[in-house]
Amino acid sequence: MRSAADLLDQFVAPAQRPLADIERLQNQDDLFSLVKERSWKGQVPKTRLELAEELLRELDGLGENVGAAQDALFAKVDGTKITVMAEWDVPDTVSDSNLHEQITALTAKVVADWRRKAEYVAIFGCSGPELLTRAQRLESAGLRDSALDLVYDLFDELFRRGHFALANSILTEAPECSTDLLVAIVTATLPAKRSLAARPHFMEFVERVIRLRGEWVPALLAGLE
Amino acid sequence: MNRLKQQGEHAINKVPHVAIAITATRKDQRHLGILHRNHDLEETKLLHLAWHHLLKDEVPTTDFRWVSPSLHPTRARQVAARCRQVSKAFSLRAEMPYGFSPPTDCFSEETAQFLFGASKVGLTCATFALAIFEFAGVTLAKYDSWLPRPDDSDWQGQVLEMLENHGASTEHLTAVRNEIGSLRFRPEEVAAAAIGFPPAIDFATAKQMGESIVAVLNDDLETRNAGSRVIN
Repeated sequence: MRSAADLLDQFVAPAQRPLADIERLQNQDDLFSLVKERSWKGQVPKTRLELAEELLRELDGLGENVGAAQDALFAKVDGTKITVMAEWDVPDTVSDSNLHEQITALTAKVVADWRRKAEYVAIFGCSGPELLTRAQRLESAGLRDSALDLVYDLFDELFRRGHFALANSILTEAPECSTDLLVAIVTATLPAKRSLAARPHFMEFVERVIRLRGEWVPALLAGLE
Repeated sequence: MNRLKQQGEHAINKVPHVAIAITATRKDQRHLGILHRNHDLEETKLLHLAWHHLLKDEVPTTDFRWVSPSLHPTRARQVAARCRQVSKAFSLRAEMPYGFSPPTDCFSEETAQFLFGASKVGLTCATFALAIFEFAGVTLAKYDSWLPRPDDSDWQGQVLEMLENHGASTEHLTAVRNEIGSLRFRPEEVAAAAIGFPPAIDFATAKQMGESIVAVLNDDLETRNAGSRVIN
């Protein structure tokens, strides 16, 4: 019987060519067939959901900060273990191949997220949300214009390098900061609005937050749609 | 024209975040820029397109009058932040061309940078200011209400001649020549737009207010000239 570490190895990408590993997961049934085989050695699962849970339990056991077993998926890329918490609801009607597709898609998402974080660090020395936290600290220290400059620096640099996916991910992870900083993010991303799918949702979020604070006036976001 | 402040009466460090600044350089020529304040540094600068590839961000002279558009303070801060960003970006490249392109869509579709590609030739001091506000999501003028005027083409022809004498590239001169006859947003009309905002100003109102602004600025010019004659 394969060990848990062996199972994790199915997710491990060679550091030199990590994309090839994703390719392998997409093109082959290694991981899923392995678990299926193992699961079926003992008792044949009654439902697809049981099969999925079996797989995820196995993976779950390898990670840290374990949440609900059916909601956790772990992967290892470029030697770094990464964790994603995701909705994992597999109805009985899902076929084996569909289930595999879902696992593969989720794994690809984990890898893509991890890569984005790595790119942030390469560009800025820290992640995008961490930069926004720095901006919040500057603002708290009374340096509000410097905080705004940091936000504009962040997005301008990402756009200059063509990293629209990174900028988009910041919009999905941005902390609930001050109204000035939230409007700065909306303004800084205006020139790239066609490339940022998350921006409309972010604007809704900003409006909701500002309304809750009782600071809302239409002029705050007018012209930034 | 009460909102058009004079530095003798209103120190520029009273600019809350951002303002349009305008002066008459000759009886028939105005120049315009954006005053922007960095509160962290307690510093107000004038960002203006002085000439072809000559973007300046400097402490303004006392010749300018200024007006702050009625923006929400949070939005005005963003325009000021945009001024700093553009200043920083172009201090490294010094490639802000002069031309008669409209102030809209001045950023690259690919990188979202404030650039001039094949479809953008360059800006004047007035359209540069409008473009910066646009860059921050603030539309000061109803561009589609603007109308061409015969003397605008004359002025554009003079600018082309100056660009030729300045040694602008052949490609740029050709592009600018092709833009002669395009709509002109005059500095005094942009100042009028700042006074009237919100809403975005229409051409007829801007033109009418602009004429009053020119009268005020020409009075300033006469006073300055008289003062310099006395000193000389």
